[in-house]
Amino acid sequence: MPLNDETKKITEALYEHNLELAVKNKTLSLLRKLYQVSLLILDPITLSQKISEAIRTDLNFDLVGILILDKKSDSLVPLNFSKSDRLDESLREAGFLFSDIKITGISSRPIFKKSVYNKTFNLITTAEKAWDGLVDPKILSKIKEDSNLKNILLNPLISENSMTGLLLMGMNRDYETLNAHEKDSINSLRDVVAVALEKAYLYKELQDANESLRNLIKQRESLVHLVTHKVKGSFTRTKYIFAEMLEGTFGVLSPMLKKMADEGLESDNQGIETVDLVLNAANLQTGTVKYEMKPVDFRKIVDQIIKVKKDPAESKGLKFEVDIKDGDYNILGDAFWLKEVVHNLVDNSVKYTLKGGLKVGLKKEDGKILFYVKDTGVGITDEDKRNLFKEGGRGRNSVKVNVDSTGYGLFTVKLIVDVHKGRIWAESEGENKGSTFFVELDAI
Amino acid sequence: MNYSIQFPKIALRIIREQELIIGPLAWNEARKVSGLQIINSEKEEVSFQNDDPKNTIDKLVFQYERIFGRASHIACRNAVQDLVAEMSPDEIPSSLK
Repeated sequence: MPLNDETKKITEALYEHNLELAVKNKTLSLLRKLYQVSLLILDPITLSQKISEAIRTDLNFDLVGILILDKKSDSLVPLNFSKSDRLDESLREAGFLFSDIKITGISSRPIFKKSVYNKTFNLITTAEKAWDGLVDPKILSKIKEDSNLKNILLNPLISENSMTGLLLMGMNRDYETLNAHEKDSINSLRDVVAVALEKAYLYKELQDANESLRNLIKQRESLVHLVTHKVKGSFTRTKYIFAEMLEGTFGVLSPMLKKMADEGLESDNQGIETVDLVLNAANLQTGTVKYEMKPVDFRKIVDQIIKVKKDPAESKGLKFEVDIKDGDYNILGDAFWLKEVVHNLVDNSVKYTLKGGLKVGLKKEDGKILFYVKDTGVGITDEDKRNLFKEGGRGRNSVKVNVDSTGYGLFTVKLIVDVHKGRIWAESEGENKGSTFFVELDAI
Repeated sequence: MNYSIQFPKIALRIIREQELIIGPLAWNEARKVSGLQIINSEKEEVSFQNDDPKNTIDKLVFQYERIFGRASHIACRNAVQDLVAEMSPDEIPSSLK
């Protein structure tokens, strides 16, 4: 049935409306594709390959290229060019690739200067105008003959007001034959491409920074191991000399010499202990320690440490209380390192309590075991709480009481508790008001 | 240039482009074009039943233009610019020039 004039007009109007929607749909579909690509690919070169290919095939362009601005050399460096099969064949015959040609002297090329430094859209009618002076004119002439490039669009890629590069699109149609929606669509691409590239370059910078950091950490580890082993070796040698002296290997010692040898041996033992602490911390931090996770009776560990530390504490004039509630204290853990945790906390408490006493407690609640050491010692200021479990962190008051404090003890303890998926924290009302250290672990 | 491959490609591209705009109606209208056989619209296979594929393409374009106006003609032409670029001028259907 033929359409009457009125119906025809309505049909044509509907068609034009649908055409506009179809263009928008196509654009949205392409933008979604570009967005997905930018999420999955973070290497700038691979990203630009995928982006230029997607734009070229979806919009039926002959050529799409992404170039990055190098301000220092005033040039545009090609990242990637996607070409139609026909154009690709023609270029291969000519022995020429767009991606090999850096466009130099941007400031003196009006076409590129407008796009790059004035940050505006530009249109050129032939490839010769783009690569003039950079490529053999015969090759450019061949490209003109073989290609169907009617217009080359130059879209600046701008990110946060600074120029990143250029999106170059070679069309097989006159730009002026595009309707308004098609032109809008093309313009909408550049923002997505600019953001995607910026993200990729930022990721690359992060990767490079990460690599430098990893190398620095490796160097530091080597240095720590070298120094600590050398120092430990040194302490060990003199320790044995003092031990032999005290054994009488070099004859009977006068009381003064004996006292000096005792002090020397004590100092060397402390030195070795300090070096071991630093070495342990370094190994725990880098994960070179192998934990043997097995069912462990945590109460047994606490009892062992109490047995060792009670007498020295009481001989210092400190009251030593124990508050262990009845129960099953089995956890999954490495007994050796858990002992280190308990020992360190109780030892610290004894060291940093000058008068009064300490209480060691253990209880179980809601599937978790809670170990604590409460004392009437030097306490922790708010400022010191911030650095308490950090590498080398030492409280002001603790240093006054124990000048040999290294700041590695609690750091080591935290590393061990973290590996056991537990929690460690400290509470104190402030300077000279004592403190309580808590360790919470999952019971099995 | 193997035009026995190129012309069906052109016809398919035109129908697909029209499908984006008017939906399945594009295939229905294409079926009405004499000389053009839609073998399978789901698999998108078409063939020409006569020795004048150029003319058949013109008829396809005019089939759409007849109903939907000049805009549809332009849409057909724009859809196949890259394909037409590979053909010599005398081989290009007049509606696509």
